[in-house]
Amino acid sequence: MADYEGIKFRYADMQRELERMQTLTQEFISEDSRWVFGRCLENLENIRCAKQNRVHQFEINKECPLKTISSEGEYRASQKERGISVFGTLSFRMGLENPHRGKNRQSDFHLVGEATTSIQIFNSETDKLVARWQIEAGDATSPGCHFHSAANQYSEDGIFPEWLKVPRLPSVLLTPMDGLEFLLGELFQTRWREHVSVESEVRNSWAKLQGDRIKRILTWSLSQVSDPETTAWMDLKRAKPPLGLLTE
Amino acid sequence: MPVQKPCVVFVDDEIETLKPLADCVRDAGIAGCTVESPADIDTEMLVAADLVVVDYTLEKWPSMVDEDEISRKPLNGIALSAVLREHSRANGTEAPTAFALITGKPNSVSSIPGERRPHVVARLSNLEWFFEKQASTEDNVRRIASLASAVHNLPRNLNEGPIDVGELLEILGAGAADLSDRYREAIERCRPPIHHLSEHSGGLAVIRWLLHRIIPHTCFLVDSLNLAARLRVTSESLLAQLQAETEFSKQLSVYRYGGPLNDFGGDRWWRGGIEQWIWELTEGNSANAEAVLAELRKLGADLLEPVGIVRPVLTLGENLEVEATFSARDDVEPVQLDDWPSYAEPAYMRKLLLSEHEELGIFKSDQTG
Repeated sequence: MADYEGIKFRYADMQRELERMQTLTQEFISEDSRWVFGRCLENLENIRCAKQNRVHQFEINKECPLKTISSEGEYRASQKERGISVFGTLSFRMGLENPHRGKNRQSDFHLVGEATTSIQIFNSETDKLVARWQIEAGDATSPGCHFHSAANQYSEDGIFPEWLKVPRLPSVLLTPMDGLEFLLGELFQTRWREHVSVESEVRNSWAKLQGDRIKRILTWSLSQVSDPETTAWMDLKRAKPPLGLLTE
Repeated sequence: MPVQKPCVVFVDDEIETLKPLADCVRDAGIAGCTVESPADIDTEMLVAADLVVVDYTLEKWPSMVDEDEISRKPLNGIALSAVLREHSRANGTEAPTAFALITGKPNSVSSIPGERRPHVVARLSNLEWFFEKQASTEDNVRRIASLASAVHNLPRNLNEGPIDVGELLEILGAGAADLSDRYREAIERCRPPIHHLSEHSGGLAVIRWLLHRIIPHTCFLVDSLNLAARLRVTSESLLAQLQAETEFSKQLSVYRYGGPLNDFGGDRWWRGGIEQWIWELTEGNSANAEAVLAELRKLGADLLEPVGIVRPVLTLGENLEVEATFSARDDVEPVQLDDWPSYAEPAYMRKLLLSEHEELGIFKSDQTG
């Protein structure tokens, strides 16, 4: 779709989101990867003060991902028996563009490239990869659905190979921190819910950021299916969100 | 009438002891520099002084010997400093006076056995700084001159009301920097005393914040050791490289901290500036040590040597001093020290050191570990 301009984010929101989740997830993130948050925040600030006329890659790269502590079977709703110990990793990559010419430090960025948050789960004892999925937002040329998740791409076992690209399952999650909360909610079914049930400023702040975003995505999705030109699903699949989806 | 040059008053019961140091400070450009006996100090001297350096031991001061009423008997230099500070405050102008202690017996000063980090001892003793006579004269002279100049050069309107971060940025010498907005936010995270705390201190609260809470830690400024760690090069090779005139040193100098106390403990740089610089140099690949070094070498930094550790960190030693060599992240443990600012980079100790010194185990924390 030629007129797709990306999605406008406020730098301050993305920064706050990372800072809140850095604090909120501290006891669930392996000690040797906590520094990754700091590096990520530094890179966001670098991009914020960087040149206007290019796409910057904002990322936690897959060589140095965020890594969770091990889940000893807490990924099952029933914990009667101790399950196989696993841990998760999260990396991401987003293509950002600074919209304002001549400004030293930008207030907003446009998410113009693909946004991919990659999540992997490993057996803690063998370090063998046991699950992998992505949370993604498309770009101007992607076929939709714009906000989607995909399973196990880049696999070498013949199932869900990278060239196939489908299925793109509809999703309401967008940012890397959405992905992190999703991962923790899966690996620690009870413990994470209990953790975010504790009243705190950091929880409330994160909940508001995430809640506002999901509400806007759902409202926009609803508007796409309310009066479809074709079928509700095909209209939603083809739809590209407006630039001001999250800010106006 | 404020004096035009920085002024330091040394106070000692044995005047001759501190005279050589005072001479060196005078030679370093602090023209108004005198050594006085506690009995000779008057309010005029205090008001004129930018810095008063009091000797800890005052046993030969006759008043100490002859006086029976303990309330009239400052037991040592810390107590005398407190008395003099109040006199200074009561009689002072808008120009503040800083107080520091000097001693040849550092272990007897600290109320905590083994704790000799000067910013901690000073903070606990309501002083701006704490000097050890055992330190090199050159270091002491540089720091005394730096502190006196910093106090002397504070803007004179700081008693008029709260200041904002923009004014603080001006004081710190970065108001006009291209990255001033970035620096401003980094400073705000470090809880500067810009509201009610600064209002009646004439700016001394800002000096204390720099001395006690910023310079000793890694916050919005980095020293040469931290800079070397960030660039993933040895500190020796960085120091050697800094001596050479190259495009590297020219570009790096843009980010050098030039505000108050910039010569107090070696050069420092704006951390956000360094990050932005290497980000731009590497076109967004600043996490890659090889890419960073390759770009720096293109700027003529041929002396830089890679450190050979994937993610080098600085550690604290047995006496909580910063160790000169880097460690690998896998070989260290985060430690939780009392009063360590939450906005500063965490402190680490080598696992080996912790295993060799059981008493250091009190600093281990599950929260940070």
